Amino acid sequence: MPGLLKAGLTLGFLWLLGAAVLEALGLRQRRWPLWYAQPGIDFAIGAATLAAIWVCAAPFGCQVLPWAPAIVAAAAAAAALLQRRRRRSRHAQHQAGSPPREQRRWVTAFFVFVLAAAVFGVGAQAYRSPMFGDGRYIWAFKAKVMFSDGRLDRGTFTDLARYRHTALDHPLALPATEALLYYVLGYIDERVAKLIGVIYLAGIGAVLASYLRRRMAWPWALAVSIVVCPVPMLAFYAGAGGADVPLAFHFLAAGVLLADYAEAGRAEDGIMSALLFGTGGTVKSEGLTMAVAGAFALAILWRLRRGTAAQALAGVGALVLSVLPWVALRAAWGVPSAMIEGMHVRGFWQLYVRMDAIGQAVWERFTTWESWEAAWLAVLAGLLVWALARGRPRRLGYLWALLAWQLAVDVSVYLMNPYEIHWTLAASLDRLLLQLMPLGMVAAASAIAAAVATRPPGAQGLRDVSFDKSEAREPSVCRSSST
Amino acid sequence: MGVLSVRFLHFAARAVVIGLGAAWLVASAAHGGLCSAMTEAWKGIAADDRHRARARDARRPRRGPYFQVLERLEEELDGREATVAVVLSGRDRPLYRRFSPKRTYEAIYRLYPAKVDLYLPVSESGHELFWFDCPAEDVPRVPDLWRHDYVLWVVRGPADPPATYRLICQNEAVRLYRRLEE
Repeated sequence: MPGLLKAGLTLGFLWLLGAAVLEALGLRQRRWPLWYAQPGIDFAIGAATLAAIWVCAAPFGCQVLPWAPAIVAAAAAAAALLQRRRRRSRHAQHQAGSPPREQRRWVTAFFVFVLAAAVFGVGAQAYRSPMFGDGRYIWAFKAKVMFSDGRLDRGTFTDLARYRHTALDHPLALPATEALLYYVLGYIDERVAKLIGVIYLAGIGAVLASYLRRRMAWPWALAVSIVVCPVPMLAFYAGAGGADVPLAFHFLAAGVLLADYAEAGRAEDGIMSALLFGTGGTVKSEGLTMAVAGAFALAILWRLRRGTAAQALAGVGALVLSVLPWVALRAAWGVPSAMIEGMHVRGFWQLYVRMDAIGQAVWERFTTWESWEAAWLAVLAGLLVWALARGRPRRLGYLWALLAWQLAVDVSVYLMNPYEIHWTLAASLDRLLLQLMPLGMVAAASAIAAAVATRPPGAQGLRDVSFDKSEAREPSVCRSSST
Repeated sequence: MGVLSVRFLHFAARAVVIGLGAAWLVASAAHGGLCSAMTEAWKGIAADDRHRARARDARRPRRGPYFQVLERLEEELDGREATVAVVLSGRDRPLYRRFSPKRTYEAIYRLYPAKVDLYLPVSESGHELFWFDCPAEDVPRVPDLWRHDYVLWVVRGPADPPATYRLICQNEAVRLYRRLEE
């Protein structure tokens, strides 16, 4: 029990670190996400901040553990307090936009219980099962090195490259969090390290419900979360020690904030989205390619919304500064990339063979009914509804575009990488798809909700009418909070 | 009538949801599910107090003679730097690029910061250094097989290990040798 208690306190520290950083940046004053979704975003930013501390200290050979995170947290807390004092005069305006009280509380309470039980089950399963291979040899290995040395040493770190499977080019948000846990515990405990993924899974559930609550009634929003969180593919990897579920959280949170920016035009949402796209690049290498798409989408929106130069600067700064330290360190240390090295364009016939294998593997995963991957069919149905519906919400187009981009990148990598195609598909396709599943589900559920809500007058549909009234008041509230 | 039917539908919906919830709880309690998950989690939490408080690696050990010896070596090293040669059998040879049999990476991961070099058989009695899919020029210089601090021999032990090595642990599948101080 003391071990779990220490782990809980450490993870709580990361939550506070992230909350302080966001508060100091003035990005915790928004109308969305709702209070229960905010801790997940705070935690993700805390983990990314911790990774940035490790990376920035590396060139100077500074010892990171134990004092660097504490010093940064204290500085962020001081800045957050100053920021809060400065904004206190405007605080009353944000109270007006609180969501309406839920009428059907018993249904909501029941669904919340089911969702909590599902996440608890995943956590319990994670705690009692061994870490899977990649979780141990890619992520926990780096955490072990960081915990043992207390700092990132070039010689030690790049020496790991001699073991190819350590995939040194993946960034350090997850290993940094695991190393901090090990430090507080005083020993390496992979069972506790695996709980990090479960926190991100809970965050996915909360962010999904928080976003969908604005498009449909509470119980329906929770129902979608209840369907998504225990999907075996997601639940297994949440408790397996890998970085795919944390990355899925970043994709989801950044995507829905982008959609919110497209809808309401609040600059804070755009900046926050840029920050989450950037910090996604500190979780796993795939996050870097998604950050490119995010930057492109945000630039289009900024242009359409006639944003100011200061807003553009803030967005670009948030995105670039998030990923720059790691990218610069990788380049400076000459960290090899196991995935990009050896990539080449193949002849037509070979491309066809690989494409055929990819298509078959994807189809197989989309139709494996017994393991609930039928959730993908729901995503396809949502895409179909969105494509065919009249007056379809343009904001969802950005989410579908993000999904299409990342799928295209993944397929391109499969087509060009040097590995045997069936083996590499078997080893990685599940994880690439699960990174996109929450984003796909939120796009599908929103598309279906929007289509139902635009039915002829008199039809109730999925939309919670009582909530629409508060939505109508929202723009005046949020415009005043824009910076 | 309309009001009645709406009320009835409301009532029916509640009854279905409550019924399903109750059935789920009963089934969960009877057949495992949430109930067993909580029991297992509590067992794990309770066990956490009792054992491995000072262990360097608190996860469950893998089963099998190879992993038993690996654990013995891990305890012996206790976080010290050393060089370890792991001589594997032919079936451990990777089939694809980056393929990583658990035995190889488990040794590399668990023995860190000891440097592990892997050897695979190439003939009846010969072994060669295995270096994943590195280009030949990138393969680092490592000590010869019998110059490592420890030699973990997965197949039947060598007929004549050098006199400078002492057998410190063995079971039906693995032998572990330590180099004597010179």
